[in-house]
Amino acid sequence: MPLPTITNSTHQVKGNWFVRITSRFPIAAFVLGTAFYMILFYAVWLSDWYNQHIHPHLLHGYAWLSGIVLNWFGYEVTVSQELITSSSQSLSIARGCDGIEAVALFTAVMLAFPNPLKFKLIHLFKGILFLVVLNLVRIISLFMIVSSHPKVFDLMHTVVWQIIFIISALCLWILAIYQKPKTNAYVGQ
Amino acid sequence: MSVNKVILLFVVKIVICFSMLNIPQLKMDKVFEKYYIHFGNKFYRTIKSSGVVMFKQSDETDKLQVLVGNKKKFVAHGENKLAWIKIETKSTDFVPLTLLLALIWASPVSVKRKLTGTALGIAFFTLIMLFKQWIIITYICDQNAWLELTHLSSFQRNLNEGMYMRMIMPTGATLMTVVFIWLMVTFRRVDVERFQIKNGFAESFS
Repeated sequence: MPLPTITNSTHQVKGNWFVRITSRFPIAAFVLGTAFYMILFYAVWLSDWYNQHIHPHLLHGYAWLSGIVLNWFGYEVTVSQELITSSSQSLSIARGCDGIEAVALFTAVMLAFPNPLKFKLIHLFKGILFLVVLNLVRIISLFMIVSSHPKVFDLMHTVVWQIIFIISALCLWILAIYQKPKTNAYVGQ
Repeated sequence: MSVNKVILLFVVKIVICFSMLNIPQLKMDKVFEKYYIHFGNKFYRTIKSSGVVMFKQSDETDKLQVLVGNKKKFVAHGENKLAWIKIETKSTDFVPLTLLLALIWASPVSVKRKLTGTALGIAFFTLIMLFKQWIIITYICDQNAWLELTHLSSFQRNLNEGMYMRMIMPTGATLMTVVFIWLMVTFRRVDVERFQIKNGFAESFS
């Protein structure tokens, strides 16, 4: 394992202007990189194309999977588009309930952090899978809450689960960056 | 300390700080409402030459009212006709602010850095809050064309509506923003270098 070469702030890093700037201001470079990916995400997320071709299928997918699990638990639900209905109540999976923003944040921080591409892709896959499963747990738990404790539904929906998602995405990222890549070939990744 | 313990401790600290700030008895959300109203009224009292804006408590619990009027229209109609909407700042602004403070206070940095981070964090958050208020005011003006305070192109209208409906009113986008603020105000280059050295990363940012 080669010794770390950046030991103090006066260290001179060789390379092109981009490399020099990112090593001089690593936090700013990382934050700006993440912001760039997030702006890209919001541009797509707000577009008509996304809303017509991706969004309905995503919501239906979540509703369909949640319906399967809820039926295992004996809730006897039916799913129509993004609506999960039982004999006593129904839950509509709306925009923002798809967990896509947390997934986007995780993807952005992973892509902006300087690691080899293969390393990023592997951890992205694992992290996104985890967040998708977590979102299914959220939807299922919210359906159960709306039938058993409707008074706390709003709190769980708008505060608790939102915070859990953000913190989960951050923890997944911290876990990923603590996993050392096998190579030190970070340049240009 | 292992990575898992570091993360666990970080999460526990976040949960404690976040829960404390959200204890209903402390009524921190009410303090924030006053802060929100104060800045809204200070920065947007007048818009353009004849527009007036007012942020105030609503008769509904946990809701604020944003009122927009045009002085010229007062004269023309002989009555103070105002356009208004009700907004709920607790989930869209207060909760993200408490998350930001919890993230800063839970971070493994010195107390001095936490205090600086808190001050800078609140300052950055206030800027975001003011931007959101501006979007809300523009939305009210646009939805009430009789006010004659804005003349948006179709692109500007779509952008304003899209931001208002999908980014300003839901909590998600603000929660994302506070993560950026947290990263910017809490960590320094030296932390990255320490992290790289501790974990055997060589020139990972170069």
